[in-house]
Amino acid sequence: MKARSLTATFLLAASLGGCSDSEPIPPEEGTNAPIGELPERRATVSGVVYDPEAFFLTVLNFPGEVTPPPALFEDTPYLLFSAIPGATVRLAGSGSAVSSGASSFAGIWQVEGVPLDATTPYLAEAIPPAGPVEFFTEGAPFPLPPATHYPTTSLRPIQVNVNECTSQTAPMVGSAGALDAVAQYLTGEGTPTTVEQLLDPARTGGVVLFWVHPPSFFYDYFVIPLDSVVGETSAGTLLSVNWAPPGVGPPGQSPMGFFASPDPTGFFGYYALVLPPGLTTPVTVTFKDTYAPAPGEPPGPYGVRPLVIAPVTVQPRPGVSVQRVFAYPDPSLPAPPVDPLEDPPPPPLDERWLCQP
Amino acid sequence: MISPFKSLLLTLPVLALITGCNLFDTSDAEGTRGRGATAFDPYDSSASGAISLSLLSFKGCAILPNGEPVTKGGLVLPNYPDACLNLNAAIPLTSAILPVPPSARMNVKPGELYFLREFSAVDLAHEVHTDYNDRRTPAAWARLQSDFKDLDWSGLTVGHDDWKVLDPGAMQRETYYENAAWMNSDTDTLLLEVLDADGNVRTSETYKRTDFMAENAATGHTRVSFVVAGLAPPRFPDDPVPVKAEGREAINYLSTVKVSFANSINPFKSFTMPDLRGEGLIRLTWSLMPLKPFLFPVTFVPENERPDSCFEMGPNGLPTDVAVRCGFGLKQSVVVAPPQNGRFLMPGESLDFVVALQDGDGHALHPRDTMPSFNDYMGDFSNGLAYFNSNMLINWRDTSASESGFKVVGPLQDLKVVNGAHTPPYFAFPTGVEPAYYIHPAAAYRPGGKSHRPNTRYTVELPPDAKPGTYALLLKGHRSYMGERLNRLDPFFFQVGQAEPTKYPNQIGNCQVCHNGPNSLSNLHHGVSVDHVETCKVCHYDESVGHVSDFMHRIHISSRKYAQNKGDCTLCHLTRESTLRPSLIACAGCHPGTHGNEYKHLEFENLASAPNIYGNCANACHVTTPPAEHVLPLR
Repeated sequence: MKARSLTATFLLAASLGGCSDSEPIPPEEGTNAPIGELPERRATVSGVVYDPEAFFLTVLNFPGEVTPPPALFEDTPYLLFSAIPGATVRLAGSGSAVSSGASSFAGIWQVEGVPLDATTPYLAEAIPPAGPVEFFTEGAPFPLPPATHYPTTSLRPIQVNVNECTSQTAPMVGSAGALDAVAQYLTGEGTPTTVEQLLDPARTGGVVLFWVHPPSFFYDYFVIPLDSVVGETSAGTLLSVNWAPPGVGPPGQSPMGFFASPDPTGFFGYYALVLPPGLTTPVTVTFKDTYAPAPGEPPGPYGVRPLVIAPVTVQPRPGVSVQRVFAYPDPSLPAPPVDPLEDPPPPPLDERWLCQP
Repeated sequence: MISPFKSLLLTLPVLALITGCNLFDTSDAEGTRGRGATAFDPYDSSASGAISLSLLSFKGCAILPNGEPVTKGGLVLPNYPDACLNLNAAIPLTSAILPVPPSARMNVKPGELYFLREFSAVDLAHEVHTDYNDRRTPAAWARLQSDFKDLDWSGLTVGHDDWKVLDPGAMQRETYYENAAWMNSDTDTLLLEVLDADGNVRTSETYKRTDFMAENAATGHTRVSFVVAGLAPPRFPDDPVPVKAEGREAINYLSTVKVSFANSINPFKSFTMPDLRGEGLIRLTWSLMPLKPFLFPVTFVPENERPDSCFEMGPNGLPTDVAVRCGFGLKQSVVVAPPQNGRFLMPGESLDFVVALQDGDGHALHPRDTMPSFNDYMGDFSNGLAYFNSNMLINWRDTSASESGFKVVGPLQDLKVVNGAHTPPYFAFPTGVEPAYYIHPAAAYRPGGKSHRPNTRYTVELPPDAKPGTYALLLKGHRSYMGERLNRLDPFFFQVGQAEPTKYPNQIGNCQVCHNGPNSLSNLHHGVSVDHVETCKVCHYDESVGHVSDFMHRIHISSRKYAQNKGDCTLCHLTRESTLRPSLIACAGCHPGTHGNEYKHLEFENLASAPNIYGNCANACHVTTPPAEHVLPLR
């Protein structure tokens, strides 16, 4: 018999019978999940670091009649032109802080090995890269002036009691925006102040920048400016921050075009709170939507105005912090009638990745 | 002279004796119960004799399984486009989306034995045929203008008119075109040739159409259809006025021709990838379109030129930081934290586990604590690990070929088909139909979502009233690597409330009667073994993702390869009870339009809005007289 014939026959026999094993393999009943000691549970936290003032100016100056919505979406051009590469994000909580590596070209950062904490939330501090921030500039609708960026704390708490917190935002501001406008305002008021002095714990109790927005359509990623909001604080100095094209606004305009005003009514919901040095007690800041609709005016896209804005409590901290504040429809207004025959909706999505307290 | 055939006959018993086999014993002595011959499972990657090869094409351009179009590189290929429409560019792919020069490369391993597992090619027209009531024009486009116009379209008919609730209040209507001559052909062939950069054929293999088991639209394969999506429920059957569903931006129109043959069942039709370097070409010539071969530019990447991008596994079952070269295949494993009492989890306790996804050689595809990001996947830097890609689902009409994730369900004895509810009557995490994806499709829209590298650690809290028994952690894995495209669904069991294991209800099974050897369920679609076929229903109870009682009947009734009596329920239904729950959705797969439009309006109702297609017809009309033509299990 030819060797080739023998080989072919052997292969056929083996394939027919599947009998390469001398002992039958026991039928698979399924695999019990192997049990083993696991390392301590740690979370992964990730998000984007960006300059909210650069974002805002990109929105404001974006060309075309139909523009993308002002939202912190993954591929929006606004984030492209305001993302900060090379930054690190430090998560500070009740224990020792943990930091990310350098953020990517798109401002993406990720912190691994974050200890879980069901009680004390973390705050994200965006720390600038060594040297100036290098924004993506090709085709940018608003040329950003040179600036020094500062470590900036986001006051949106991150409650890390699940394994993953994603899409967290870490804003970082520089010297060419509201901080400069505030420093110029204080100087104009008779207290010569530089941005560095503004952030010096010996000179102030820190600066908090508030962005007040109407309700967001998708989590808290729509950051639409809200006009006609009046702010008031229980301590420190609250200034509204407004904007005009550089060189067009009033005296005291920053290189980006921002200027500060003691008028508590903001044009687009941007405010700066300068706290006195040494203050340790929490500060309450209240915002009120003063928009008065004309008789018969239909409700806007966010519902009937004026909107309601919950008071904000701020724990003083040195340096600069940023807080986004969202208004919401007046809960005292009559809600749409509930159809008692409405079918049960699908179960809610698992949104623990938001990591909100 | 002894003829070769006689030689074979004489030799077989001898070999059988030598190897201790009983060739005539058709019982389960092999022990594989439908998972294929242990001697040669072509889908077992590097442990098998050959690597399965998937060749995908979109509008004339080769694509990777993540949808990215492949460049022809430096090859002179006049018939290969310089610019390709990227199906990942948008949904829908309107005419505003223009072809762009592609950049992806499809790598193959020279010297490796491959076999053709899948050939799929798609042409589509998005937002082109926008007359809701015109069923002629999409068919005319398919016949006369599409990339497949050279096929024999004689005999084409309008087939199934499928209405589906995608979300509450939002519907999709899909009209299928069927029975064209090319669809019913079973004598056609696929000639696969591998060419070097100079255009010389270095090896070839010819596959028969009948070598491929799967070509059914219900499993994401061959289809010609016209889809209108984003519709509000019609006011009445045959309502000619389409209305946009609330919350949708627009009504979308999609005409598709998809040719897809998958799952080769002939393991001997393999070929050795030529021992070449650099660029080359795989040319696939379908005998029904002999003048228009499909071209797949490839790069021959030998093993020693591949980076060490995988990781050694440690003795604790978790990946280490030691880099190692990746191989083919996909294995999934977990390590679960010990229960507090050391024996089983108690109600209210959490299942705490780490996932380790590996190649077939046991090398981790990721480091211990994180998996690759979605951007890594799209950039072909994920060691093949695949994630949910909505573009492939909607534009390519894929069905669940990249949505890696997990689901936890139990106890096993309570698993049953869910009819008309959003949540099952047993514990499930997540509570809805969809698994917990490692990267949720919506993450792509959230800041940083596409760059997030998911944690490998997961924690699922059991309810305080969790019923005792055996629970299943189901890992759903997808990997595409150097031409190989694999799906795996593996259950890992754990005990809750008691040490004694419990079992599936054993309502259905027997799949291995047909699905054995290379054709076994482990090698098909999600890759779930026949032993765990009762896990299908824990996700598939909503028609938006397919209801098990619908597609399972639909697949087999329309199959040209299912050789059993199609009225014999006893083959798959192990209990009489499991056959006596008729509903419009369970029956329509085999009996479309039986009631005309009498109950058509029920197709427009939401999942949990009874009466609807999930309602029990047994008690309404069919209680005492099950269809006489159906052979049911005995009482």
